[in-house]
Amino acid sequence: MPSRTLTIEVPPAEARAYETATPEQQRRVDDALRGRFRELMRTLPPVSQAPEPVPSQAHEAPALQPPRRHKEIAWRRAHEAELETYAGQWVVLEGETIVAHGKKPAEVLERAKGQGVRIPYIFYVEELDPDVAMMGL
Amino acid sequence: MTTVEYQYQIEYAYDRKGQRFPRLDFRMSTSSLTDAVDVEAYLDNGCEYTLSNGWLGASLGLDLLSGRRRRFESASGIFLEAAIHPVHLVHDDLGVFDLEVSFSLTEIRRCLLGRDFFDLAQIGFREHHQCFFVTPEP
Repeated sequence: MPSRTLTIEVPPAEARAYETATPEQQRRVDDALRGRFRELMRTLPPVSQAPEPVPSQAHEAPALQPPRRHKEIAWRRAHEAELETYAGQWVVLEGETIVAHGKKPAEVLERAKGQGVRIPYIFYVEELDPDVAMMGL
Repeated sequence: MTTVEYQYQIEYAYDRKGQRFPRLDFRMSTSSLTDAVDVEAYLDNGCEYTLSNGWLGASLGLDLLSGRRRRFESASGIFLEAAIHPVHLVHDDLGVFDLEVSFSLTEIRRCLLGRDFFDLAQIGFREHHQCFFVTPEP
């Protein structure tokens, strides 16, 4: 069942006075607060009519955030010779660290996730041959 | 003559040994948004539909074999089969694209952005200058 929380803030001076008040005075304050609570509840729409979360909130999910892999892309450019040793393999790079690599992308991704990488940045290191031209398929 | 003004100019990405390719980096996820993977994809308007390695789709939790099938055939007649699934592709600057991606059932090394992607974004190439221009709308 849907629920929601309504908070009524009591000024600190009133809260302190409540602590030292007689039981009769406290009962009157309690009644007044309950009345105020009922009044506020009447001003709220039923839960079923509560506004839906705005679409932009859905885009705050990590899966919908831009990848922002500038650090990894810069590392790849600066370490071409090192990457040569991974030719023919899939590589997962996190920051400046190669966290997993191998010929099977499924295994590489699994190892990366096993090391706590939630969203792996994966790429294939092609075996470059000057006599070979690449086409789509 | 139609004149198109583009919003973004993107340099071809460097590969090793100085080769450069028209490529975009994306975060790929499914509608559940529980898993994502960051991939690089090559612009290929010779490819009718966007094609990805199937294992990347499987890593998103997709039941790969449940997708509608599509056969891709190359100029030489070599073909491969793929299963189609809807995904989100998020780019740093270009935003979010909702696309049905074909996930190859055999191993492939490149993710190709096909004409279905070109249908969502206007792209102009300047091959000699090793850059392309993009406006993220049809």
